Amino acid sequence: MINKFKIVTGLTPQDEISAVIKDGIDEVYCGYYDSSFDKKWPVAFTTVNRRGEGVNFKNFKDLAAKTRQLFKKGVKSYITFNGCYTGEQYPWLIKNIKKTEAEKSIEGLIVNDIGLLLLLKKLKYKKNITISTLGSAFNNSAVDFYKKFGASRIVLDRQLTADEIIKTALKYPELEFEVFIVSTGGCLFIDGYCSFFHCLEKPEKIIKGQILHIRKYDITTSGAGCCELLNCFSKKQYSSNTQTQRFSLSKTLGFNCNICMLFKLKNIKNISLKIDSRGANGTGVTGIEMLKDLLNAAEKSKNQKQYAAFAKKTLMKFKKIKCNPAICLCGGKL
Amino acid sequence: MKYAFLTDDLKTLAKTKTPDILYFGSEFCVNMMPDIKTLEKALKFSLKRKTGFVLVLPFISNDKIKQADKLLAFLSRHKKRAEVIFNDWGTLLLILKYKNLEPVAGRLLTKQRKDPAAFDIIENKQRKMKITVINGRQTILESKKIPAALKEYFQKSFIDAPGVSEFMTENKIRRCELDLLPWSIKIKESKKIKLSVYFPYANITVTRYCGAINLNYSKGCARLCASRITEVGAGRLKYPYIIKGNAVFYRTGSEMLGKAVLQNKNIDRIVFNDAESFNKHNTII
Repeated sequence: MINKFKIVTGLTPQDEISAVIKDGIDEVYCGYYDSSFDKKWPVAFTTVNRRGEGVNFKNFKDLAAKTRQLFKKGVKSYITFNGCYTGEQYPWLIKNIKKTEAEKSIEGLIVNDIGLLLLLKKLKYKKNITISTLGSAFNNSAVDFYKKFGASRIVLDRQLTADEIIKTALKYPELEFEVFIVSTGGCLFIDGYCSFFHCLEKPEKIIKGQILHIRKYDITTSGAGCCELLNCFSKKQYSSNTQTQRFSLSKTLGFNCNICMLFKLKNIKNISLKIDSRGANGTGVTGIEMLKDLLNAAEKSKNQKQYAAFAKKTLMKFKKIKCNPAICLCGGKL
Repeated sequence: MKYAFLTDDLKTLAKTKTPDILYFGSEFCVNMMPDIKTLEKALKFSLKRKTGFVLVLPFISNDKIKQADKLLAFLSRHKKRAEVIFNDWGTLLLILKYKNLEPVAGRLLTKQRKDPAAFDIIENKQRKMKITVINGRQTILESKKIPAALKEYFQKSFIDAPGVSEFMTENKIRRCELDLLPWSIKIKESKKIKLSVYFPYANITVTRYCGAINLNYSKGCARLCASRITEVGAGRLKYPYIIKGNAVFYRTGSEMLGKAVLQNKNIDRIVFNDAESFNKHNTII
């Protein structure tokens, strides 16, 4: 039987529920904080989860209003608590874990922190636990490890190949696995092992006459350490002890989108597809149209070659990015 | 304080002073895991020089699990007791199969906030105001103040959160590996868990797209890590990024090291990851 692929996407305060339903989204993930948390640990610094200021709901009430609407339409909602937490944050966490557990429209949590997994065990948390991609499950033994904490689903790392994904998914038919799809942002690093600084803030803007006044936390960097790295590369501010090729931004794009995998993955039942929507002003429905075209092609294509040709064109059509098989680890061979 | 030296290369070992402990293996790349013969030679070196021995393992993909397990079996047979650094939670379960091996949580798992690009922001040392032009409009950028709790958050790790040290000891983990931080480390004192810090290179991130960050734009292992070091942002960044193999680092200094050791009584081991620095470690400490 062909997998119809459950589609999971981020939900932001800006998203219209009607659009989520219209797009055929099966499930959403979202996050929230409150002023007491933000005052101490500004969420722009990815302290509550890996989402930014504008993408997280500012309070539980606003979030629950949306998840309840989605629940009525049969769309499940997960709360993202995939930060790493210190002891000082535990009272807030405990209060909010209980709050989300009591809310009928919330299906479960997405987590990665071992401390939080231990806390959920201690609290006898009854809803579903998804291990975030930040849990870096690179091998089956890691899946066993997370199963011990009661995980029912694992979000796999973006840098796994189709064959690696398939082997793991087939070994654990009782679990669900999520695979990131259509992301072509060009992140070169492994999410769960990356400590590059990110400040995902929504600046306060005031226009006074001709002058724009912006208040923000970070006026020093371009918002992320990895962007600083790429900026330095682009400005030729690098040196190596051996001869290298010149840095080329185009060569660091067009990989990791995982779209070529769809034909291979379509027969694996316990895989769902995740579209990310991180960033201060991200929108959860980016890439849906593209994904639908691809799913359609994966179902109708006779072989990988035929599907790959379509996928390659689709990548160019929607993202204006050329597939970059020279560096991509994909097993699909576009 | 014990002084350890980390390498995955037997030739480098021959050129370095004798450490208290030899850390042998790779933290970041499965392609750099030693084979049994190389491990045996490293163990012989350690025996001859009378050093302690720690096997270092990276995060491991399914196709390399058997190789990792063979190394563990070999180590278990040849050492009465040995520490093994693991960098994914699956590897912990592999190590626990061997009673005489002691798992140590590697620096990829201790999840500190490390990127020095945040230094001025976290320390509230940014310029208060900047005037610039955005989309043709004159713009005043004003920096918001960082709360003290956020700096403290950046100094910590989940490892001293409630329940974590109990989990660690239940799983025979008695040591965690940490990087030095520009804003200093602040981990609660614990009788159960000892800490190591790495010097001089602190790790920021890793990738499987090794070819892309090393500018040879190929997939597959070209063993670039054996020879190539790329420094990015010198003259622009306070702490330039250093790329070696599939990982990105920054260089820490002796001031950072001294502060960390003085402020965290649980740090009882310094792991040198550069031969030159190790050879003059008496002058650094």
